[in-house]
Amino acid sequence: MTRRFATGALGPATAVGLVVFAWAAFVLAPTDRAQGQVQRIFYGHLPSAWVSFLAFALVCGASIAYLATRNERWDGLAAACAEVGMLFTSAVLLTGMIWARAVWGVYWAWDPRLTSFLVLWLLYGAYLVLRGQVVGVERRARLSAVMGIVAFLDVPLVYLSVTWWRTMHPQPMIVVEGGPRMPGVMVVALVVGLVSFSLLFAYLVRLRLQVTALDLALEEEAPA
Amino acid sequence: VTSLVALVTAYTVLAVLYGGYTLRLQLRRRVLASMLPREAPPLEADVVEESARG
Repeated sequence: MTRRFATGALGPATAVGLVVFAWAAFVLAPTDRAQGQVQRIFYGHLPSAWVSFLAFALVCGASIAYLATRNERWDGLAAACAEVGMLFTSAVLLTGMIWARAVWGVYWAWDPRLTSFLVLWLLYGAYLVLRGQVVGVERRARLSAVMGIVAFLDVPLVYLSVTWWRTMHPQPMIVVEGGPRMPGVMVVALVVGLVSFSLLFAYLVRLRLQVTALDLALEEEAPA
Repeated sequence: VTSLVALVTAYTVLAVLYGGYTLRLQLRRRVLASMLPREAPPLEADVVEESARG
């Protein structure tokens, strides 16, 4: 009963979350003195990046769980998280390029953060291609699980790239010694973005799992 | 103006990506659900009998 209520409330909660996010990003947050209006891209860009890291951490966790238990439900969860994670990763790359054009004057630079993030997008793109090409349910699940674990190694590399190498990308501003290096109201708008995009991610993964379940049910119904 | 155009473009891209993917999944779920054979609904007489018993 509680579980059904929780999953039923996910859609409306996501919709409300996104409306509050729009208000926080465009109305509540003040205009940045240095960058102007374009800085508001930050409130959609960073939460998308956070969700892609979360998605790929779940792919890694579900892949380990699959290899340990051989339960196909873990493989289904990994597939759903990878697909939705790719969506958020693509959003990060596109919004980042638009922001870079306005601030740096170029869409792309072969910078450690940008390059390692592009590698992340390519790795999970390859993961999805692998899932589509391997024949045999058990073989596909096993190979995908290995790839899902190996690909996750790029996530800490992306996160630490701005501190390990010289980069054009802004340094961490939230999780730093002495607290966030931005006004409190901007941090509030960012937190609203993180929560609402996380809800959107959960909603999309649930929807993706429902589609997979229906696909399987139809396969079982189909005459051999 | 360039800054504002970039801002609007970025959020349009986000709306198209997230909104488009959500719609695609919802449509696919509906189509697949409609293809599954449904169990026959209970006859009216059965319902009346159940309520009389209950």
